[in-house]
Amino acid sequence: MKADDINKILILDQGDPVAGQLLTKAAAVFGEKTEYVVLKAHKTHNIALRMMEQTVREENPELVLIGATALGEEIAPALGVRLRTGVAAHCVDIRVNDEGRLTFLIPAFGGRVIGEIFIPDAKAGQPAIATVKPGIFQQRISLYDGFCRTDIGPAPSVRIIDADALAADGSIPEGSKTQGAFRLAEITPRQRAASDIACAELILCGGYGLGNEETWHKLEALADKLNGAAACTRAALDAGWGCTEDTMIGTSGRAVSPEVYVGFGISGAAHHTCGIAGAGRIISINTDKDAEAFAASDYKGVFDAEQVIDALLDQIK
Amino acid sequence: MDYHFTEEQGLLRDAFAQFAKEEIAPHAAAWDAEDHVPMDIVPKLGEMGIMGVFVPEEYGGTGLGHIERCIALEEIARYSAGLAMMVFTHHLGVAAIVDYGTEEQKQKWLPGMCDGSCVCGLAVTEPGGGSDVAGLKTVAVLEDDTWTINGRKCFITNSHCAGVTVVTCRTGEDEKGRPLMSTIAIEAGTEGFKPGREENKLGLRGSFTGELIMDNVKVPAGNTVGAPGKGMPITMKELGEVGRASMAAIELGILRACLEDAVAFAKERVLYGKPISKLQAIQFQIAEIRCDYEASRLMLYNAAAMKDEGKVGAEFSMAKYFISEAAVRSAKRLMEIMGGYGFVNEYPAGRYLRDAVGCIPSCGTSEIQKMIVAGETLKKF
Amino acid sequence: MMDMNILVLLKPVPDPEQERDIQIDTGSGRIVREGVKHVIDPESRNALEAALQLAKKPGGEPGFVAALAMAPAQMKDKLTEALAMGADEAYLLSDKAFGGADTYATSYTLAAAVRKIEAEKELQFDLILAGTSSSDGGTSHVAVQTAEWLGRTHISNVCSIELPDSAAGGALIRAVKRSEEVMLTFEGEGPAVIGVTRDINKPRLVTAMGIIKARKKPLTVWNIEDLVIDPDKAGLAGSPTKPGRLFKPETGRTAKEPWETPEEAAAGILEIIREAGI
Repeated sequence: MKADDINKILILDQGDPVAGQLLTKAAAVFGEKTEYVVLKAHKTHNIALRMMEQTVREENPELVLIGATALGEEIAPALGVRLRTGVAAHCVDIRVNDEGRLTFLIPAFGGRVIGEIFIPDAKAGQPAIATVKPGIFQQRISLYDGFCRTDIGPAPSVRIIDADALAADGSIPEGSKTQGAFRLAEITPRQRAASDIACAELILCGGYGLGNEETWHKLEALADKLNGAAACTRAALDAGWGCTEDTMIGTSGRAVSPEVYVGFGISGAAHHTCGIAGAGRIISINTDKDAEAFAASDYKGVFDAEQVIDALLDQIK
Repeated sequence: MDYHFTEEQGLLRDAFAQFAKEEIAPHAAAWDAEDHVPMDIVPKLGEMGIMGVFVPEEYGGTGLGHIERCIALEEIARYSAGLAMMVFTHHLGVAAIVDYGTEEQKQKWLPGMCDGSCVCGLAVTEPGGGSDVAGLKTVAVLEDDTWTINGRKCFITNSHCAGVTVVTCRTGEDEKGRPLMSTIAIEAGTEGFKPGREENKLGLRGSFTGELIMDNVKVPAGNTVGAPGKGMPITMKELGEVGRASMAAIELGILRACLEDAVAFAKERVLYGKPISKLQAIQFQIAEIRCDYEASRLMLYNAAAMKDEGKVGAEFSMAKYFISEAAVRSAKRLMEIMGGYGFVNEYPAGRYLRDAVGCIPSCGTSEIQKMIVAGETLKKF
Repeated sequence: MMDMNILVLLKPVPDPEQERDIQIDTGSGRIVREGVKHVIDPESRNALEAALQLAKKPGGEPGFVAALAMAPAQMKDKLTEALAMGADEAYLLSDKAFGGADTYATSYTLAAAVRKIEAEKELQFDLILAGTSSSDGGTSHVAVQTAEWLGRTHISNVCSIELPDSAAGGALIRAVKRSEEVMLTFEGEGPAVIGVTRDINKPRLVTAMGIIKARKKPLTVWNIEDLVIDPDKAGLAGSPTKPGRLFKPETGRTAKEPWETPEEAAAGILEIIREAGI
């Protein structure tokens, strides 16, 4: 499908910042000639899926963008089968290539490889579908719902369809507490809020090279004193030092875009570095002068992570 | 690195390797440093099917062959040659019962030996020497269907943990006055039977090596493994085939540890701005280790395949001789590649060297192996 | 005690431990697969373990666990491995015509195989389990899309599955799904397709005995003609998404190395943080 063929884009708003990020990105790529429709749907599976399907059939968009949240990762592929169309998963970029074709860039092998994906037969009513992890497209920018930032150009005109309102007037059948034929029996909060690192302007991230639990706790203390957030890699999480999955950055964790990111003892497997691509400045400290992380950094230091953490703690006293 | 393993053998190797990585690798250095014998892992080895890997299924075993047994020992020894020594000696005793034991003995002992609740041992060597089997002094006298055994065995693996030990005893003389030996199984806890001194070894730590003392030990005649008086050929066969094959497999595991660690270290260690793996001097060392490993692997698994087909000759002796020397060479090369790191106990290079050296005397030194090889060669060519 | 019939979708993938060495062939722009060791995708392995735990509860009437994969013929040993772990039967869908399938075509083919297995065995699987996200493609699509083709409930990111009333003969399935802020507990009866996560369990090791038992278990290989499907919907031809070039990601950053000591680094980092106005 040519990018010029895209007249209407439908974005699923799940009630978190990702819809704003998708809208910003879409506006930057497709400009004002394209119509933007945002479907605000409950965070419930059956209604979101049914409303998305219905809205596509009524609005006939050529492109559908969905945040790759736990909910979005289920809605998008299901919608793909229902509409008999393709889904590009976890896009790290959406572009128009030299031939004017709509091109999705998706990571494979945990981000070590990036591949182009085309959905050539997509058309109005049978749209290309793409999911994007929260944070991949600039975290803190939201173009609607009162979060408009003017420094990236005028906001496109957006039409909002409010599925919540539809539900209230009874036009949506029951289903807010179900997923398929299963009913929602219980909701329990997770131990730690996921937004800790998502909104942080400063992230101090620890990898396996921290070496031990004590150093991880030092890093946490340092992050606290600097008003930043402590995060970890998969390797550090697996080491069992007390880091939690909510603070894991990377393909299997979260994508972040703080102003400043400092990585300590991180080898920099692409799994991890693709989760920090949106960061302002990236600093990496690692004893291995060939660490892959350095290739994704603005500043590097070949030092022992603990020594630098100790020096930082010392200097901010 | 694929000696024509079947799909099933490939799966087994992956399974054993995964087990070794999870259950052995994290503890191997500590077992060596503390000379701790990890008895708690034995039931897990039973569950994996390693303790009874070649025992027929009707006795609770896995019913596989000697190739599979060697695969298991190589994978265990990759991380802990000491633990592999325990397993191999267990196999040695088990093999004697499988090959020569009575139906009653098999039903009584093999299930526990397969599930890891009973470790088996085989005791031949005495203070006077090991390879001179005819010169053994432990004596068993049969009276009223009961053996009375007196003597002392030394350098016995599993001396302090075996539930059943198959002991080689002198039980008479033939018409020409040559000694007749019998192999007799003694259960732990039998009156007068007890472990003596426990050795403090240079290598292969994490397994028991020690004395067994027999002071008027009385066991029923039904404990004789194989025909009375046939102990010598039984012992020679199990030591010569199961024993040497096992030692070769353990040495192969050590050799592979040297190879893998050498490559990993050479890629990581940076000198003059590049990894030392880029230096020819290091590459030559790695090439030597690799060639030694591949040659060793072929020799061992070829011999094991021949054993499974029932036509093995001196191949296990050749493999044992070649691989034990190759393992020592490779451990020394690893230490050279690692420089100062090779010398400190934080890294396992020194352990590999100690273990490789420690393997040489078991089941016959290199000189003994060469005598066997020469004997067969002079007949065959 | 309710005995469960469970199907596990397995995916053979290049060994994640060798991912650092993954190469792209510059000529064809494809991944070099020669000499790369393949393993069962880690999350599919968790799915198989979950199936075995649910269907083979000690003391109960053992349920039926089958494994299904779509992969080239040489990946058959991965299904043997599944049998060695404890699955009762295994099915491999292998045909050149399946090659190059995206998740849409893959799930379409898998769904056809599910229908065929169910028809032949005269049963309906209470559960179909899969990994949520594979280590190679990682789309999180296949479990959901297979469910859609079959018209069944799907739940992904599930970190716990229980059968709360199975002792009393009930068929209730309780699955806990992890979302960003909350844990959602769903209850219902099968059939359903559930995608599990790595933390649902620790998969058992394959044992020598398991490998021996696997010898006697059926492993069926089906090609495209064995399935009732529209050939235009299988493989690359049936895939609405088409792959283009592959490349190694570029970060667009070049690292400066301005500091000589850890203390200088610390001071430099604090300066950068201050400059950013944090």
